[in-house]
Amino acid sequence: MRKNLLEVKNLQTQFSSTKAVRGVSFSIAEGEVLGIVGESGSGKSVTALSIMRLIEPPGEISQGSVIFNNDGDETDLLKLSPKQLEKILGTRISMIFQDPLTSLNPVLSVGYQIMETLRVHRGFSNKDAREKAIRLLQRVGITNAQQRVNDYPHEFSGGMRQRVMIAMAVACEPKLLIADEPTTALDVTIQAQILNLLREFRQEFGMSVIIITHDLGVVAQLADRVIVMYAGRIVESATVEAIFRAPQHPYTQALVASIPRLGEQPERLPVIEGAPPRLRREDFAGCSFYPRCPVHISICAEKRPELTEIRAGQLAACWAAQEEGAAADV
Amino acid sequence: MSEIILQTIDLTKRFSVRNGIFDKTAENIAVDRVSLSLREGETLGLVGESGCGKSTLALTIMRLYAPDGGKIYFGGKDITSADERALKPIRKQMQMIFQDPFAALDARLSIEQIICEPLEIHNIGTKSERRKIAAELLNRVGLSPDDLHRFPSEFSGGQQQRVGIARALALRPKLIICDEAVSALDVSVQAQILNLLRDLQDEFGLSYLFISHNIAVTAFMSRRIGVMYLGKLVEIGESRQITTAPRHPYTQTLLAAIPEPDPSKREPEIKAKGEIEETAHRPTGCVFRLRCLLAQEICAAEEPKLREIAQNQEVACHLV
Repeated sequence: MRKNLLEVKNLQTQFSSTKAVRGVSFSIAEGEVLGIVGESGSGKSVTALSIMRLIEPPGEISQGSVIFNNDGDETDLLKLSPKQLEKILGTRISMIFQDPLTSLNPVLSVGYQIMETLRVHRGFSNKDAREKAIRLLQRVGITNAQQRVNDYPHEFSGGMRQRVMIAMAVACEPKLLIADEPTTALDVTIQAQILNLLREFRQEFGMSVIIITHDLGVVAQLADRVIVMYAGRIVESATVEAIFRAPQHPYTQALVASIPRLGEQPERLPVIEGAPPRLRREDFAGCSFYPRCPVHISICAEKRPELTEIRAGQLAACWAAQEEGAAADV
Repeated sequence: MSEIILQTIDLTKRFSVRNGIFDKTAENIAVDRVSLSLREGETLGLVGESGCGKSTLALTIMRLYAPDGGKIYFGGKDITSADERALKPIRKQMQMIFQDPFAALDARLSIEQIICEPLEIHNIGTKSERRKIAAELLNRVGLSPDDLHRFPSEFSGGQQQRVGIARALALRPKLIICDEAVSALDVSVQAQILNLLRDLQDEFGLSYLFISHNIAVTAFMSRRIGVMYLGKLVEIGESRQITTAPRHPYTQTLLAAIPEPDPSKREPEIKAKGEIEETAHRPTGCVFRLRCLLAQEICAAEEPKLREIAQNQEVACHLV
């Protein structure tokens, strides 16, 4: 069994009028790729931002802990001072976003931005940092890196910018990379190249990756384990194979069934009726998927199901799945 | 076989781009001699990556851009250079659904005003008749007639797209161009809208030109699919053939790159190098040759023409 690198316990994050994350617990092992999937408003991005402590007021993390295993030294990221946090975030954990242009500084060359990371966190000299920046740009597939290192973000295409972001994110060989919809804005042929790059870096330095996406295809290609979020909570957590072969939660089942697949041409697509709920501060008493659920039973409206192990390594928050699982055990 | 409703012959659209103040103006060929046809009641899909010209092609067909070459026939009539007056009755028969439903709906108008506006412009019915039509349409797209008095911001993305569809249907068009109509929607909502569009097609006898970057979605909707790259149609054929046995190296690249929602099919084969060129810097010969792993001398020397290699299957590649 691999060691846990990060453990999130009962995380809750709220904004003035909504509660975006409503008690989320999960862990990620060393070298593991964890996919977090969900639709808009499911709380997947806010979960990632909470781990990085990037929630701005009026948003706040109201409860929970994020335990990071820093070479055997367990620390709660939510309790660290800004200075202590900066040390870990710069070197051990880094993040890439959907739109690299908003995360890169437009008035600094890309080389300078990569070098800055190395100088501040690793104490590299200017010369060493520059050499390493060029090597990193080459490594992520930027041709002519010797010259490109002096170029500014706007001189790169969208796919190239995402490569630059990745080069910057992996500059200090982090233990954990959090990637929030890293390929959503890219064309498919470029997306395939970026996904390959993430795979390679994971192999190269045993980096763990949390990949947040709405695209089940991306998750199927990259993740070892998947958690599915709905209305601020985890509804299912399992290996990637189980999520696609034998999903237990009706929401996961419907999600997997509703994507059009190549080579199959059905007359109609299976659908989930209704739309994801708008987040509010108050909570339903029962399961938040209940109004859209095709299999609901009487208890679903009254009591919220907890995330429970249905089969080995597969957890679902669903009364019907739990009942079925129990029946199968007898 | 049903009648051809839409046909383009060598349709071309260019834009001029200026690189800085002193540089010469460059020509950007967004749509380059595209010929296609669409029959009544049929769906033709158009796929390609950003900058391939698929949206420009749609807007040129709608005559929202003036074509720079070639012909557009709608219902057998040449509309390539029809003036605004001649276009008015034709526009009634061609409608469009856009990617961002909220941007496409006027936020200050009620749903009733939004759906009735095209009817007013074309002088159809009295006010109460128009309201009745709008109520029926809302019903048909899965909303309630009570929603007539609400405003776009009160709806979710999927519901807004339903309003956009109701508006497009108001004039009983023959052709609807769907430009990335489900791309901004959540997966669970996307399936609802795709099913709705297919039901409406049968009911209203609609033809669709369905434009999307997502091939799986396009294949679900379309009988035939055209693949575009840098303004050129590089392959066109039956959906099944395009998705299971593509012939053009670019179509093969595109399909191989799609992340399949199946963890047992990993490690996509990368069949192209580099990134998409700007249309302003297109290569001589074949538009795809700089990224093509199979490119040979002839590909640089001569531009491959779209030619029929089997029934209902046309490919523009020297090596096929």
